[in-house]
Amino acid sequence: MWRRAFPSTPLSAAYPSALLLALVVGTSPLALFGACRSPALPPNTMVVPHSAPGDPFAQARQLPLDKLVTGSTEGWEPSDGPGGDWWRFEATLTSSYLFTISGRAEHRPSIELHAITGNKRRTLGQTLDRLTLPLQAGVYYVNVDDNRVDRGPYALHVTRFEYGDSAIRYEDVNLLEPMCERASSLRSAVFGTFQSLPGGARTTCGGTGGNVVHVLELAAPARVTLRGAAQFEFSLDVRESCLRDKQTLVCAKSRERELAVSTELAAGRYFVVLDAEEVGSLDTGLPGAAVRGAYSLAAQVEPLASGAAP
Amino acid sequence: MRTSVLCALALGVGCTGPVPARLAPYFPPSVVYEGPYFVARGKPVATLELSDYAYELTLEASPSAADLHAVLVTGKFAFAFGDEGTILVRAGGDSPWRAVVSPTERRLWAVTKRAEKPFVVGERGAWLKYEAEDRWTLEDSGTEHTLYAVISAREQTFAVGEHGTLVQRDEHGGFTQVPTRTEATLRDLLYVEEHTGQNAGESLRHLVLVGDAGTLIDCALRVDPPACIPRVSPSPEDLLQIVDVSAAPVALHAPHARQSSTLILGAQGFTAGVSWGRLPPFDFVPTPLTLSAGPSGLPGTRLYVSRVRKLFAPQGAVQPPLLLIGEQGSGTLLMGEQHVPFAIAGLGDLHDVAGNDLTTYIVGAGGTILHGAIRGAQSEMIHEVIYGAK
Repeated sequence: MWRRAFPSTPLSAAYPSALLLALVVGTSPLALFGACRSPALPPNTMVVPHSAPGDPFAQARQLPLDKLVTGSTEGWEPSDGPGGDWWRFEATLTSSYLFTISGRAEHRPSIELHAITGNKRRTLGQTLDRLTLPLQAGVYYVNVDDNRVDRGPYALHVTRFEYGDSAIRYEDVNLLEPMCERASSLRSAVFGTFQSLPGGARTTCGGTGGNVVHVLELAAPARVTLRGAAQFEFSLDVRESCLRDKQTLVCAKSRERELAVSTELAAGRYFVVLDAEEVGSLDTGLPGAAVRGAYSLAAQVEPLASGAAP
Repeated sequence: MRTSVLCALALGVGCTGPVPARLAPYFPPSVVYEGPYFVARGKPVATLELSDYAYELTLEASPSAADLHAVLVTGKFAFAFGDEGTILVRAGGDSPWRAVVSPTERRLWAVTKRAEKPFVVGERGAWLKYEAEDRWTLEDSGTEHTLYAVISAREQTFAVGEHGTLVQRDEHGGFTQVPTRTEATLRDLLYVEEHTGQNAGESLRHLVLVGDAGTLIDCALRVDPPACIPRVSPSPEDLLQIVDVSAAPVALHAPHARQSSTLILGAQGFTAGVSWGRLPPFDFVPTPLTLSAGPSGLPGTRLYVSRVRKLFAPQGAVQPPLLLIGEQGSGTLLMGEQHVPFAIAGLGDLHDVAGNDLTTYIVGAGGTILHGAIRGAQSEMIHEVIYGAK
């Protein structure tokens, strides 16, 4: 695996054609690119090792959120196969992200995105300019490449994008209100089915948005311990107001698909939102972040001694 | 050739003898039978008359008096398993049943097959693997708990049993115990795979486990180990069996029963079901099922089935849609709006039922082996029609 060295390119420069951006996710995706081969070296080009032998991702440049970066694919040939620039992007929150790649005006840049789960590589999507994808928190690798002879500089940008028809987006009050109205009680353990839903109930510490809201009513101040388990990583929100016009009291994330969180609450009515922290396989046909699974949730309520109200 | 002859049979054209007209509705033109043909060895002990055909049960000679708990029909053989590690086998045609050497003396409770190779589970974690010919090996399942049911799911095989045990066997013979979040005895499990996306490989793969005191658990197989979560139970009774009845919803009469694809057999009756097109994890609605009014004009009868031990719903087979078996040689055959109970004198409890496109085998106490088939399906003519042989 080799990469051509090139100077940084000012944004005002003309951009190359048919740029290819590929996004892969995973912890050690090298082995998954067995199909990649060392490219034939173009004549009169200076090359440097793409990375330490065996890991093209070790020297990937950081792709920061909300900051334009530039690079160039000049010097690559179509026979090079999938090569190009590697960028490392860390999504700190489960969210929809908008990737934008641009090149020279007379050519159409293209973007291809892949995901790696375990030892399998999946194509997440492909576009010529903009691609919006739901991503769970984690590290991703972005590959910018070019399928045409005419190569050159490019500009790359990523930002959170939770509007419009994004798979993960802000809570939609029109969806949330009916959920709040029919929220079932947590007086006893509940066993339900979560399904991701764009604009659905979403925890404040991340999450895809979904269909799960429960209500917890306390007649007196109490220490409340919420215990949950699910078939996916998840988070829990405890809210005073279902529509979140008051500050969220607690938000906690699961580990190994289990969670126990404890907090002291005054007497009153609270809403508990359960939300997925992972993004499913996007071509399953499931809505939004493509997560569907069973969950269980129980609340243990221990009254506080009088005068110890939180 | 096969298809054209079969079509002729299905249309009732150009066929003679007692079979074609009666079998016509039950041989879809697309059916091409691939399994072995088991000729009944003996005389019928029960003939169940339906409006379009008769179904015959024949008691076959058993080489063992041990109680038999599990039966399986593969592409070549029929197997039966039971107490003291009993393994019986018979080949197609008119071959007799015979006993083979078992690697265990533990009671064998259930059987499944993966790529035509049977796996058998039983007492104290017994796990048998079929090697070849008459050779079986005992594998170390990693548990001492008794396993009551086993099922294959692609490369993996799963078994459930005492103390909430769920054992997973991978394709290389490695065993893993999967946490189920229950200590209840698990009696049965169902593998569900629903394709949801455009890519053939994308599907939702789940196991549904049922057990004592209404235990119902859903396990998602997309994570390793599978993530098992309890579900709302349709009934507090002991849940004995969960079965895919999607091929036979018409036999059931209850609200939404015709959309039901999965049925849970409880110790006190049936509880159901899920609707077509729903994705796992399923929600099960308690639905007491009744038998609809039959041609006799009798009113619908609640299907109170405390005596039923097993329900058999062949998938795409040339068989009655549903067959129930129970105590003292009893059972019920359901075909559309019709239901025909039977009770064979002198027999003990019937424990398990399985079959292929043409033959059903029922096993039970005291080495009982019953051969079931549509009358005429045992004839050489059917064999010829389907295979175009002779």
